[in-house]
Amino acid sequence: MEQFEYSDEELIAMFQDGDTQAYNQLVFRYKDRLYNFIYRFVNDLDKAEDLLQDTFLKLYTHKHSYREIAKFSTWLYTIASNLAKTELRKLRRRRTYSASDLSRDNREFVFTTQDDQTFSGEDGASLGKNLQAALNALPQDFKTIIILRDIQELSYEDISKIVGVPIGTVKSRINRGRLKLQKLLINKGEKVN
Amino acid sequence: MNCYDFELNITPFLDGELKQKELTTFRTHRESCTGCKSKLESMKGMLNCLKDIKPLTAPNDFNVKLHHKITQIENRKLAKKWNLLELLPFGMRPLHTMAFGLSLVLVLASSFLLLTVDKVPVVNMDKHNQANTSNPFKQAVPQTQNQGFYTQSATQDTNTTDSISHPKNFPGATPPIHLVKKNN
Repeated sequence: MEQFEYSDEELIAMFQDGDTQAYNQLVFRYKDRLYNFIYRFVNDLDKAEDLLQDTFLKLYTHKHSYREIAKFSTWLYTIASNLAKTELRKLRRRRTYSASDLSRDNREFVFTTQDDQTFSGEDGASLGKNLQAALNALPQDFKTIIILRDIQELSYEDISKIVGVPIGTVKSRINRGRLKLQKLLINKGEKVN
Repeated sequence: MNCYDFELNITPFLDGELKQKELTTFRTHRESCTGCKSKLESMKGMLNCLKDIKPLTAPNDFNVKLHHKITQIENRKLAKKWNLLELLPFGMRPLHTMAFGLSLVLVLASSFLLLTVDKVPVVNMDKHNQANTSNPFKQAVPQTQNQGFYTQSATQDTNTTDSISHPKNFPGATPPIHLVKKNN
């Protein structure tokens, strides 16, 4: 039986028994999804890569922490989410300086991000940037749930377990988060009809 | 249904979770209120944009870097094992060996001394009575088989024992305790 036919729970059980190929298969399945999720959270490609690595290292060193009470994906997303939140807390504590303040001549530094390629065309690039900026402006609780539901397309049940709140609260936060995001986009002059 | 309630029901409507009655009311308000209708269309557009966001792929060298880190972790685990082995007698560093040996000797010696001490003090009534006339500590106390610091006098007779339970000289008072120190 080929390994890609195994479920996530079967693979983690095999890895707990010492099969490192099962670990590699899990990394292959989840690295892109988690990379997306973490990037939308921290809005920094390098940090997202570091946090993705930390997530998989935690999976490697704490494999026996997983119990088949919840889905494996829920457990993995919880690890990634906690690492991303910790990183955001650290970033908020540190003072940040504009890169332009550090330049010797009076040039302004403009960083381009992957969001320039998120949508095609000039308008698309602008929408992508504004969307990410609006996401970043959301309170963390709303932002997490919007990313998990509307970008990662997870179910309410999974989101409830990852975030650790009841399903009713998840639905309420989704609605309020979406309305808030909509208002932020309107303020930026975006028409998304 | 007012505009506030309409706003609260947008997500349940999009998720298909509204009951028939609520759905009818929602649709009726949507048709009658242009502002709410526009809000709903705008929300649908925004959700489509979020779904259409181009998914990122992890960097090409991610696996290589990850396995490099895993190798480092494994090497650190092995190094810890070797450090533990260095604490064993064969291959111990001199200072550590001495400190370990000394502490072991101290622990064993103190345990030995504690175990060999008599816990119960001896009541020697005869010696106490004689103390009224002479210094009991100058008297030579015959050795007994008891190896403790405090021991019973060999000259103790049964009367002493009786005097403990039924004191003759002190019918009503508590007899004083006389400890006889063992001469080494």
